Amino acid sequence: MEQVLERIFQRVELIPTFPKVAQQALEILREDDIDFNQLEQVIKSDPGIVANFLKIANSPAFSRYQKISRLKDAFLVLGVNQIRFILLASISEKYFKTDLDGYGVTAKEIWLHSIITGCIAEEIALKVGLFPEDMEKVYIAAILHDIGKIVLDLYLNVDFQEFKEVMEKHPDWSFLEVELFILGIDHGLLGGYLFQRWEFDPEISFAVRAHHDPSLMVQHKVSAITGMANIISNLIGLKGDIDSFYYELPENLLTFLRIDEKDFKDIIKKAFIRAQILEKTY
Amino acid sequence: MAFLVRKGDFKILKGRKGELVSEFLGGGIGIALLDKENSVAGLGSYLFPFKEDDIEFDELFIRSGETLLPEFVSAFEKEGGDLQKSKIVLAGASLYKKGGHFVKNYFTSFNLEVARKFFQEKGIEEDKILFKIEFPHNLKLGISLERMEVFLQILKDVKRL
Repeated sequence: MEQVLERIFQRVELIPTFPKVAQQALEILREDDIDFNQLEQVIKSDPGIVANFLKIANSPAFSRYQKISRLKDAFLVLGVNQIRFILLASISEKYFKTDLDGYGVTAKEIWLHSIITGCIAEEIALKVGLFPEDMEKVYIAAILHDIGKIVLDLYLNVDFQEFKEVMEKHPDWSFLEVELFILGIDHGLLGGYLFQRWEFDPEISFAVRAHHDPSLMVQHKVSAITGMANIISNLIGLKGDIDSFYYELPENLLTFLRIDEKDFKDIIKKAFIRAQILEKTY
Repeated sequence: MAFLVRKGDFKILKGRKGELVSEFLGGGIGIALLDKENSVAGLGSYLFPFKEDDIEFDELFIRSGETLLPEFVSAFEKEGGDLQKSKIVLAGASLYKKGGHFVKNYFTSFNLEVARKFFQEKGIEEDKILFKIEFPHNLKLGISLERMEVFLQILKDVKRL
């Protein structure tokens, strides 16, 4: 495992880093008395993020207000959590801009899946009464949970056909085992490790690490929310990648989160509506 | 020409040309009807089972199974399709590879039940329906009038049914 990580991180200069702009902006948003002028200056230093931010902020999935053309206007009409969310969604668009052929998923599909997973995670977090200070962790983990796939697809040249052959040869394996067999690592573990390197809160790297692991998923609230959000996002059928349903789920996930049948169905419905609206934004 | 059939919607084609393809079905259901004798094809898809789950927003109407199925079959019959003589394929309701029975118990089983009940009331016996359900993969269902076939897209492969 260490060797594989070593091999991957030897090419570290090629691997995406977490944008400094976003890191600074998130720090400002953590303050009790937010300086929105400073926030604007920080975000403005990356025109790509500004463009993505305004595009997403103008989606009816996030606001029903008049057209927002400046960051300042966006800050006036959006809540702090919405600003956080849109900021992270803007960053994710930078990562998810190429098709991940090895996993059989297009850039559009994985971007939409990531954002919707974030929306669902927010919905679940509100339902289960997650502490507001933990919301940022949920956003980051849920929106960027598949970041390991980007690294594996782009730098280890994963092969869709090879995945498929191993799945056929070992029908009892989950995709975690398939990835481990072929690549020596799975995308959750790699994603978690990436967040560790970026020195994010350990709960975030744990949640990313655990998002397909049935026993780890139910050890913490942030990981359970991230895992559940990913499941629901797959159920609404946004993408057809090779591994969507090829995992084991914990039986006690709903009870761990104290979500009942009605909540489960409501969350799926809300997620689907948001996906319909967001799809037009891409 | 291929037409996309979105969730909560259906389309009917008549003649010898054209193709209908669903979106990824996820935990939802796709239904293909093909009457080869009268050259009528229909494809419908839904994500939620019951009437109370119908969704209306931005001039869109996304039908639940209970709303979609009668409208879909009625439109198919209006175009000359004969349900009794048609090939009927029901696909979707994907499940995870292992565990997580709540997905089936609280979601996909209702979607399947609505379709089963509808066809039963229409006098179609279950063994006349080809079920392609509960795979651990995301599926697309399609129907081609040119080739007079129903097909399933699974892991980039297209399987004729």
